[in-house]
This record gives sequence, C-alpha cells and structure tokens, in this order.
Amino acid sequence: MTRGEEAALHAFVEGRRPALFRSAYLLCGNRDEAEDLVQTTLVKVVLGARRHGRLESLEAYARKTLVNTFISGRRRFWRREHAYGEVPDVAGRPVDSDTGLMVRAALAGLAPKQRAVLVLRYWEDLSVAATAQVLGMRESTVKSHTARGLAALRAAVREEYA
Amino acid sequence: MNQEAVTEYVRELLGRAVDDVRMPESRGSETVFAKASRVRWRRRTAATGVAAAAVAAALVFGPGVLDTGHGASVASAPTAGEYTTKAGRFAKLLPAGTGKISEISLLRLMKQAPKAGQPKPVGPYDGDYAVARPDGVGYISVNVTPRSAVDAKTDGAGLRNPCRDAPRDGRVGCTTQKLSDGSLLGVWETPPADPALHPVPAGGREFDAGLRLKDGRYLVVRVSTGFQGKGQLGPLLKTPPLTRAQLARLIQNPALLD
Repeated sequence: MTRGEEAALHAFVEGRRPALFRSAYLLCGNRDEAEDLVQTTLVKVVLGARRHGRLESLEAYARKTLVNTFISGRRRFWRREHAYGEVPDVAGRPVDSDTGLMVRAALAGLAPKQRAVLVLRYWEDLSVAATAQVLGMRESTVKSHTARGLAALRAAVREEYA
Repeated sequence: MNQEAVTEYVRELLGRAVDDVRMPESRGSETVFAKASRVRWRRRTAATGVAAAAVAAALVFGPGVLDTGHGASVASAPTAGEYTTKAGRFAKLLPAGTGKISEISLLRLMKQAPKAGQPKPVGPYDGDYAVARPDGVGYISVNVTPRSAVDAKTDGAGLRNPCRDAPRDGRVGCTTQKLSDGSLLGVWETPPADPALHPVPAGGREFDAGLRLKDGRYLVVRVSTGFQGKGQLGPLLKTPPLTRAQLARLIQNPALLD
C-alpha cells in the first residue's frame, strides 16, 4: 500500500466513524456495545484493505462488515437471548413517551437480522437487492424481514400514541 | 402511505432513536491501526504456535480432554480439583460421578481470545467450569448478581417471576418454587439454537436455574452439554452434566453465595 493510500485509509477511519456509530447504535441499542462494534469493524476494514491492497468500495465493505459482525456476535452461544438467564434489562423498554426510546425498544424486540434489514433499508437507504447482497440472503427474505420490522415499529407507534 | 412516505417516516423514526445518543469521544484512528497491527501479528504467530498451544492445553486440562485420539482417557485422568483449588472445591459441591471439573473461561474459549477480560466474580464460585466425561465435555456456569446490579437493571423494581414469559420466549418446562426462606427458584430448559439461525458455534442442550434471593441478589447456574465450533474442548455430552433435580439442589447450596 502506498503512502497516499495509507493516508486515505486513515482519513476514512477517522471520517466514517460517527456514521458507523449511529448505525451500530441502532443495531445494538447500547452505546458501549456500539462503540466496540465500530472499533472491531474498523480494525477489520483496515486489515481487509491492507490484505487486498486496494481501497475501492471501502464504504460498502465497512457497512457489510458492521452488520455481519453484529449478527455473528449475536449468534454466540452464551449470548443467545435468555429472557431470565441473565437479569432482565428494562432499559430497552419505553418508560416515557419519548419517541427515541420507543423506537429503540421496538428495535430491541426484533431478531438481529430483522434489525439489520431495517437499518440497511431505511437508515443506510439501501435497496432491497443491495440489502440482500450485504446480508447474503434472498430478496424475498429481506422483504419479509422488512415487513415484520415495520409491523413491530407500527405497533410500537400505535401503542405510544394510543 | 406510499412507499416513499413510508421510507421517509421510518428514517425519521430511526433518526429520533439516535438523536439523543452522545457520540463517544473518538479513540482516534491510531488505536484502530495499532489493533490491526496486533491482530496481524497474532495471526502470523498463530500459524506457528498451534502445536505449542495443543501441548499447553493438554497440560492444563489433562490428556483426555483434547480429542486427539491419543493419550489417556478422561476416565483415567486425575480427579477433580487437581488443577485449581477453586475447581476442586466446586467439584465437592457436585454429585459423585459428575465428571472431571476444570475451571475455564467460556468467553475466552469461544472468542479464541486467551487474554479477554473476565467479569469480576461476586460469589465464591462464580465462573465457568468444564465437565469432562468419557463421551465429551460439558459446562457449568455460576453467576451471582448483586442487589445493586439487579436494581440498576430493573429500575429498582426487582426481578419478576422467572417463568412469566416461558414458553413464548422459547424456554421449555419452566417451573417455579417458592422456598421456605422466601426466595424464588426457577428451573427451565433452553433448547439448542436453530442451526439455520445460529450456525456457529452450535450449542447443545442446556438446563438453567435462577434463584431470586430475598435480599435482592440473583444467582444463576447453567449446565450445558457443550458447544461445537472453534474453542470446543471436546464433543457434546449426551446429557447435561446435571439433571434438573441435581441442578435445583446445587443452586440451593448456600456455599455458592458466601
């Protein structure tokens, strides 16, 4: 990698961090976890960019790494969601009428892949096809995850303003 | 609402969810590059260190644990307690014939990160234990949550009935029992994750017990047949290391708390 490419990589890591953090926060619903996810993602991006020796599509690579790292982290054995295996976390439930809390609670109730689909489709503004490519799933699966995710959001909004 | 309006609306909702979140102070790109260099170095050295790691693991866990096809069987390996005194003391709380007990860290095994930080133990036996038997290796985990942490997580409301959401949440056979000292015991089974959704590492059968103590603390003990994937110490056990009844007896042992 040339000195100019290294500088561009540094600039990407520095500049893209806030946007990645916001997506990570929507996925994790937790600030510390989101920060760790972004850090892990950026390390993987740097390793990948150096290994392949090219910088095209860094943006897409980072996005894909972020969501897939998030999903694989959720698969881990002891991190499967045990409702009472660990102390129940009420922070994810809405305690007042704040819309942000309500949306975060609705997202927390979704499966990781459904959450990832919503974030990619509506926050990162990707098409169904691009979302399917990032997540390695069929377009029909993306559509069904989207429908379920939107239904959950809709239900949460209805409850909030009922 | 047309598709465009839906997209706008959902985007606005998601925007509200991140609006009030304080951005972390940037650790700086240097930390990312430093970590990347360390990972790269570790990967290079790992390739040459596999043989040494196998020898080290055999020394720590005994020759029967690593499924190499050589060496002594688990049955003939030294008895519980030879490797750490904590594991030895814990083994004495278990029914005879449970298996060979070694203290391990599931986090480090599964993350393949030998230096990963460990949560600070609260109870005297808090931690993870491998249970080696001739047919494989299972695990027992013990964790005490202090009242302050329970209060923080439940907004001071304390824990509810542990079976309230079962079986809707996937747990099966959840039963509760009010004990004479006022604590509430819940025991349930967590079925293996759907391999289509959670392909790695694949977990086995698992019994869990949660004890809501009168003083507000919460004790959890998990027993599982093990997991398959990177870091596994052996094949899955045919049955969890303890039966539900044995697990219920173990979690009521006051030694786990003080």
